[in-house]
Amino acid sequence: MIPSTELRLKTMMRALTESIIPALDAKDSLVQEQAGLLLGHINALIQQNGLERQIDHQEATALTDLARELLASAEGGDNTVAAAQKLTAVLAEGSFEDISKAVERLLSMDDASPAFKDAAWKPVLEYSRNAAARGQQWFKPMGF
Amino acid sequence: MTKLNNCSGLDMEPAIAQMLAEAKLLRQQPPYKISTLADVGESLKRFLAGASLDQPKIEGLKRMGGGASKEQFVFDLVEGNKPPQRCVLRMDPLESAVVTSREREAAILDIMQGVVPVPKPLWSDNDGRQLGRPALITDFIGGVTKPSKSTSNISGFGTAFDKATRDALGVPFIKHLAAMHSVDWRSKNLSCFQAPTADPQQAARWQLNWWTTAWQNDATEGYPLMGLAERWMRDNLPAANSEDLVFVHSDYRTGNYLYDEASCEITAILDWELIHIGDFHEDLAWAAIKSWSTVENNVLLASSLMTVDELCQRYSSATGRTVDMKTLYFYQVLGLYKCVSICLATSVNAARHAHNHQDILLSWLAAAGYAFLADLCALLENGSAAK
Repeated sequence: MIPSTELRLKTMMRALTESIIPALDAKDSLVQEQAGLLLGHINALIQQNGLERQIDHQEATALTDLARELLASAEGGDNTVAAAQKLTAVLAEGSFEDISKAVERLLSMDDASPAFKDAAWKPVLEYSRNAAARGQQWFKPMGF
Repeated sequence: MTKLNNCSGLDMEPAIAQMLAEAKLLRQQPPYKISTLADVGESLKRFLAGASLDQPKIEGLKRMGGGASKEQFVFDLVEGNKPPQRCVLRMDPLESAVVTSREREAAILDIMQGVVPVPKPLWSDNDGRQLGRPALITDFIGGVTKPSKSTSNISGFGTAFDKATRDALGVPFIKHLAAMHSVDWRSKNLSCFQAPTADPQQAARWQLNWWTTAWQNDATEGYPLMGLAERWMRDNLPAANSEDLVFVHSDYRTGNYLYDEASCEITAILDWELIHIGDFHEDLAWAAIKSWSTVENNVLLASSLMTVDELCQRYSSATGRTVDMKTLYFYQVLGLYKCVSICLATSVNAARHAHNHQDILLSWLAAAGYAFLADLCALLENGSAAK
């Protein structure tokens, strides 16, 4: 579409830089800091423009793959069994948020069997290494 | 103050459980209205008029920069013929990056007077009845948190020092940490603090339950790594002897002290809001978190000042305590868990509800959560506190 999102964001930056920020009180540190952050956010949005759905899709696929792998070996006491049942249910028809919370809950149970604790360790760390790297790459324009 | 039950049923410091429960009740509030300077000035005038001062006047009131957590103002208090006193007002927005108590902050600043350089607490409004929100007024201490020519990101992230500055600042950094840990909390009248003395693992359990509760209250998405880390910590709670229990600053690091650039003397230790009684290892582990450290020749310099080995050795020499590397590792895992919780849960939650004066800063800070997740993942994979 014309004007593109990128063009609109760039014009916002120019308005901020050339008209709005110079008109702000230079001694008002909160206002100056917030204007700087606004510029930073817009700059990051320009670099991320159009890619958010792709990233979300990668996240969802990786999470559901991990969930299925964990369910294949999940065993332990009552809490672990209940958490595994909940994860099975949300995998069928839950949102990304529901599935992510159910996976986290299953992994947090301290009555998991030693075998499940062992089996879960490597795939969770591998998933997390990739997920954190994706997040860091996504937010690289913000300097973290 | 309404007394709330610890609904979670978890073993947690009662004052913290109460604070977290009260914070949840704030969720239903409408967006936080940022006060104008004129409003703050009027509230301050009314507040100080009731503080037995001689015709107090407030001059030069302005906002201070920074502060992802509290609204901060500086002003000169003029009273009678006395010279003006420069003061700092720290005020809670509705929600922020962390849930803390001004009462505890005022109490610890009072206790630490003459022990380590800290601002002097002058007045506090613990429940916000007089100033609109819970607030603390202290005196003002000058100094910088990073080299004045530095261009590092927010909150001390990535601050680097040259070797001479590092060597010079490392001395008071250890000296003050040892001094604050030497304060005998048992001899103080501490109605707003409770000590984890029921069993040797209670200090670690209280911290774990504090931060898992904060995470679960505020997170909008789950993270498998947070579940794995929680379970690992529950399986590996370290024991602490009674003599290991100290006042833990809980945010002792580069970025949270002021220093004089010419003399490299630390002029004030800041941000005491997470203070609690706990295991001394917690402060050592926190000081060594990568985000406020630097890496030189592949070696991490804790708080950009010294290696982790040096930090532990110099702390041991100063205090006579033995640093247990397994315990240090536990608190490194907990420290990163806290960082993820602050960035990806509580900050995001406050920004979503428009409950902070710096929502835009909190949504910026949230992005740091992935760096902490990456560090937490690497720490659990490596399995050693020294790495």
